[in-house]
Parts: sequence; structure tokens; C-alpha cells
Amino acid sequence: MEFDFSPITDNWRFLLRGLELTVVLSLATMALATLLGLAVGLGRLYGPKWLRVVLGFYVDSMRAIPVLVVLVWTFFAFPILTGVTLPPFWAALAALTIHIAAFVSEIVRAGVTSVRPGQTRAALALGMSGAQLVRKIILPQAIVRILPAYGSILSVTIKDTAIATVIAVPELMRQTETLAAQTFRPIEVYTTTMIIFFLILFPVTRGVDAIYRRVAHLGQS
Amino acid sequence: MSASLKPTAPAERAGQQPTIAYDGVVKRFGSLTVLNGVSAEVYKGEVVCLIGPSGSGKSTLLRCTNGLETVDGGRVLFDGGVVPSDQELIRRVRQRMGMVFQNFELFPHMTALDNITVGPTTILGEKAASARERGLALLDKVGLRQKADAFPSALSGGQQQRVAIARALAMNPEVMLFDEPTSALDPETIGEVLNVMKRLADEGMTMLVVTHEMTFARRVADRVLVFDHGRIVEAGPPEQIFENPQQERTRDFLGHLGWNG
Repeated sequence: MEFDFSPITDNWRFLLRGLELTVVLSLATMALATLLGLAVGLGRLYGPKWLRVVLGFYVDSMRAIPVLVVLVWTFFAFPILTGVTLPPFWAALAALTIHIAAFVSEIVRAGVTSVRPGQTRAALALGMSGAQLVRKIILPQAIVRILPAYGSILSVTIKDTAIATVIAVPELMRQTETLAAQTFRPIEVYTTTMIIFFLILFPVTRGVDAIYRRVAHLGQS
Repeated sequence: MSASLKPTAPAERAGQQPTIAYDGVVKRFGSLTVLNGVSAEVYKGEVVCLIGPSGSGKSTLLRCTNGLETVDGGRVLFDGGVVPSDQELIRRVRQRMGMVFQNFELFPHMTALDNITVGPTTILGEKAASARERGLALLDKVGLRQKADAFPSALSGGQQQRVAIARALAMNPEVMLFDEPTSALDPETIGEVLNVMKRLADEGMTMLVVTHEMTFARRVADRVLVFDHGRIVEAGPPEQIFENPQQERTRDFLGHLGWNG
């Protein structure tokens, strides 16, 4: 069997454009999912009863529904129901954000509840308000504590962007499929994309671990 | 050791309003009655030590003082007013009381200095520069000026507790509540914390100290309250409690500790 990598060397710009979109989609999803997840997590911890019930149902739903189903529903069913059509990139961003945010909210909740009660007592004894307690004392420690889990979600997010190919978002996976089909070189093209994903994700996971090791003591009360 | 010159017995304070007054305080956790009608007064400048077996209600009474626990019966008065249960109102009371915990509870994500300044800057709105200056002076006072930029994880237990005392003092409290401040410490660092507390007492700070350090209570307290099963079984100056206890319960408790006067 002979390998021919010329389809990749000839079309690297085509793949690079896909990679760029993958990175943009990943970062945008992670940024939005972090904000939404933080809000949902705090809402479930400190919000009124009805809000906790609603948010709990949302999180349970996202844990039970495959992200691919959420994505396809957002792109194909949502426009029919509402009359609002989302371009593929925005549909992918919305679906991934809604899905990932649920998992972010769960680690936020776990992080906050893991800060020991004595820290709350110490802050309250100083005279802090509930909001000051959460902002100044609890959240900074919780964020440090959830870093490893957050790193896992980050790598899952980057990998999950590949499913956006099913709604024709021209990210790395979509470009890869197109190239493989046009050049009849699936082995070389798909292998290249595997390696690209690995080269992105390996430093990300290792990097988060390294950061955590340096700051872990800041979260240990 | 110089004898205390402060007037201490409640009788000598007739007409003076106590800084803190407990009036028949009852506290229950489920079916367990932790405080069963505790009444006592603490006057300005007094050092009152709370001693007694574990689970006798000393720490709970301390927490009822600044509203970390609510009372189920009776009243806690601070400066003549009932300590409120409303979360906004209680904050004003807490800002006037410092509290030091058994496990220090320094904020691990802040340096020693930031631990001290976070209260004044966040709660009182003090300017960062002035809070920093006072914070450094307080670190000086507890002998840890050189540790200003150290994180709690880099400090020994005794050092952490001294920073915690400085953190409480930064709010300029009128009363300091100490909840077993040396119980989690290695024996060799207990002394440095007790020395800081002794100096604070000498400066006239009003202090409530839950402690198992009988030598400290004997030397520094103006009055000692002996707890057992949620009640104060005996109260009096340390000379009485440690040399001539009036109650069988007090003798039992001190006997178990091997205290021999």
C-alpha cells in the first residue's frame, strides 16, 4: 500500500481554514458556556426555589440528551417551531453552548459546595454580605478547585465541535471530509486530522494540569 | 507576673451596661439541647474564659454572640441591643466583633496582608493604601511583618492563627471572640498565639475565650465560666475556679484535666 500525502500538502490552506473555525467555535463555545454555566450553577445554589427546579430540569436534560441530538434539533427543528433560522455556525455555537454550560454548572456547584463551611463563617463573622462572601471568598477558591474538571470540559468542547460537520459548518472535520472525498485519500486525510486534534488537545490538557499544580494551594482551605 | 488591676466582679460594675449579656439563652440542634438557659454578662475590658468538657455548649454560645447561630430561646444583647437575626442588621453587629476560629480559616487565595485588608476594604470601604498601612502595622503587632506576602499554605499553624487574629483586629472590633484558638496547634506554637492574646488582654480588649488552656485562663482571665451540659455550673474569678471551686462539677472537670492548682 502506498501513501500519498500530496492532497494535504496541496490543500493545507483548505484544512487550515477549517482548523481556524474549529478554534473559533471552541473558544466562543467555551467562553459562553463558562458564563452561562456559572450563572446556572449559582442560580441552582442560591436562587429561589422555582428557579432551582427549572435549572435542575435543564441540567438533567442536557446530561440525558446526546449533544448531536441537541445540535440537529437546534438547526432543523427550532427554525420550524419559531420561524427563526440560524446560520450553521450560530446554530452550532448555540447548541454546543447550551449543552456544555450544563456540565460547567455542575462543576461550579461541586466547587462551591466543596469550600468548607468554616470559610463562610469566617467571612460572615467579619461582617461580609452574602454577595461579598460568594464573590470574594467562595468563588475564587471554587474556581481553583474546579480547574482540572474545567480542563476536561474544555477538551470535550474542542472535540465536540467536530459534530458541527453534520450541519455543514466548515470547521476542521467538515473540511477533512470534503478533502477526503474529493481526493480519494481518506487514510492520509483523516489521519492528518487525527494528528491535528491530538496536537491541539494534548498541550491543552497538560497545560491545564500544569497550571493547576501551580495554583492548587490557593484553593486549599 | 503582675496582679490584674482591673475591676472585674459584676457586683463592682453595678449600674454599668454590659457589653454583652446573655439572658436565658436556649439553643437546640434537633432534639439535642446544647444551651439550656445560659445567663451571663461581659463588661468592657473584661477577659472571660469559657471552659468545660467538649459538647458543653461553649462554642455554640460564642457563635450565638455574633449570630452565626440563632438562639431558640432567651436573648443575646450587645451594647444594650438584642443581637438581630436579620441578615442585614446582624452584619453591623458582626463588624464590631472580631472572631478567631479553631481552624484559623484564613482565606487560602489571599496573602497574609490581603487576608487582613479584605475586611476593611470590602466591608468598610476603606481605601486600599490606608488599609494596607494598618494591615502591615497589625502584622507587626503579631510579629509577622516579614510574612505579609506569604500565602496561608506557606505559614505554620501558629503563624496562621496570628494572622487570623490580625484579620479580626483590622475591623477595629470592640469585642474579640476566640473559639478554641489553640486547639488545632502543635504544642510548640501554642505559646506564640497565647502571647499575642495576652498582650491584647493587657491592652484592655474585651475578650471571650473558649479554651482548654487552663494555664492561660488562670493567668489572663478576669472571670471564668464553667460549662457543663449546656449550663454555666460555676462562674467566678480564676482564683476561685482553679483554687477553691465551689461546685462538684468544676472539681470533676478540672480533676479530669489533671489540674492541681
